[in-house]
Amino acid sequence: MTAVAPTLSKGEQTRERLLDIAQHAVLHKGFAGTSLDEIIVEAGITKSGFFYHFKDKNDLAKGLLQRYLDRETLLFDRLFKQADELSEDPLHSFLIFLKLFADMMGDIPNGHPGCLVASYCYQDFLFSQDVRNLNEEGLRLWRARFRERLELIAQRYPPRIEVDFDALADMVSAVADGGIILSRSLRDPTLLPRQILQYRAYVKLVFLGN
Amino acid sequence: MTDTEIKTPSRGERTRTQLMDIAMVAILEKGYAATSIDELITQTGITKSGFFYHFEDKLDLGKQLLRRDNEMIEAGLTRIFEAADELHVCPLDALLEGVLRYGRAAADSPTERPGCLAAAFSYQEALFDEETRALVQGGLAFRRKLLCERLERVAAKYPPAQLVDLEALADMLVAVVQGGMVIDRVRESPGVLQAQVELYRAYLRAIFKRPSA
Repeated sequence: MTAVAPTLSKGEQTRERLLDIAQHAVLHKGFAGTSLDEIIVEAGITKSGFFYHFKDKNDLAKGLLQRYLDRETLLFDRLFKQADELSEDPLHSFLIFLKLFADMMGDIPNGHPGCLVASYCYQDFLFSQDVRNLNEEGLRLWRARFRERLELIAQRYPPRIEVDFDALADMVSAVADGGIILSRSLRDPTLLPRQILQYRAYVKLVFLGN
Repeated sequence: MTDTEIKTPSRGERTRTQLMDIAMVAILEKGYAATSIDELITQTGITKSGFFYHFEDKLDLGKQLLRRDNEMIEAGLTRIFEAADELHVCPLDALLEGVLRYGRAAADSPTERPGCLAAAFSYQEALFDEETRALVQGGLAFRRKLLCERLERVAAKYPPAQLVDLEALADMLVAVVQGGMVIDRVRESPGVLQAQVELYRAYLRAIFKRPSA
């Protein structure tokens, strides 16, 4: 989702390309359904070239997930920064953020390509514990990040209905992951942005009432 | 969400059920591609030809699993909401009750962590044929339709103060159940799915206000 900086070395470019090919395959066929051979053939490199970048398939899985989480973090940083520049009010800034997020998800051609976090959780017996830990860490950070925003909002706008802030923070991940699954399965790319907007309506209701 | 019909299954049916149960757990934990026919027959202790007596191939097994899952969910959800209707005259109370029970049923899984076959398949869709993808689609479309009808009934009785996209609101429950499962699976600490369903119920209560008595 983020443009790759043009200053990557040739080796880094190859690594990025391998990850792009692998990510696309994993999101459509799953990890076991993706072979190293097909990635190597598509990237047009040698087997030893591949193993220069990744020790084995598990290492590739880890590299993919790490890059995915880093990109998500960057994306959220950017959208929050934009939203904060547009409004100093914590509630309005959060609502702007959600609108920007929904718009961005709606603008992806053919819909969201899929979430590696969700994809991994349905095949994680194939991965080593450190890959599973990385996935867990990602979700924990997102909860903390959204919860922090919600608490700031609550200081200025006491909630009109009683809600659990951990759950309301988790709901961003839940509607996003659930929305992606719905969009993919029902083959309607608009479902994901609509779910984010539905969450936004809920946040409004919590802090502003009807 | 299982049917408790009083009927003694034949030995063949029992083997078939056993094969499907083992395959379901394997697919939810490591995916479809990593699940082999060999491991299934080893675990059930049958021969390869025994497997092929029940299923044409692995793809056929996948389809039958999805079909069974869809049927169980359709029957289970229908029952849940009918039971809720018997308990509550008010459509809002019935909906809240039904949603609560739906959440509990979704958390009840043959695996340690909750999981959904349709979601697992949606992340491996390129391995399947069109018929399989249609089954995934059909299962989710049923849930959305059932919830949409319920929401329409509630909205007719208690018109919301603000315009609400009822279809998106129906999808939201399906989405948070799916998303809650993902989070529970990743965190390996149950409770997120239930908390998401609870939060959704709070949302419904805030949208559809009963006129104060």
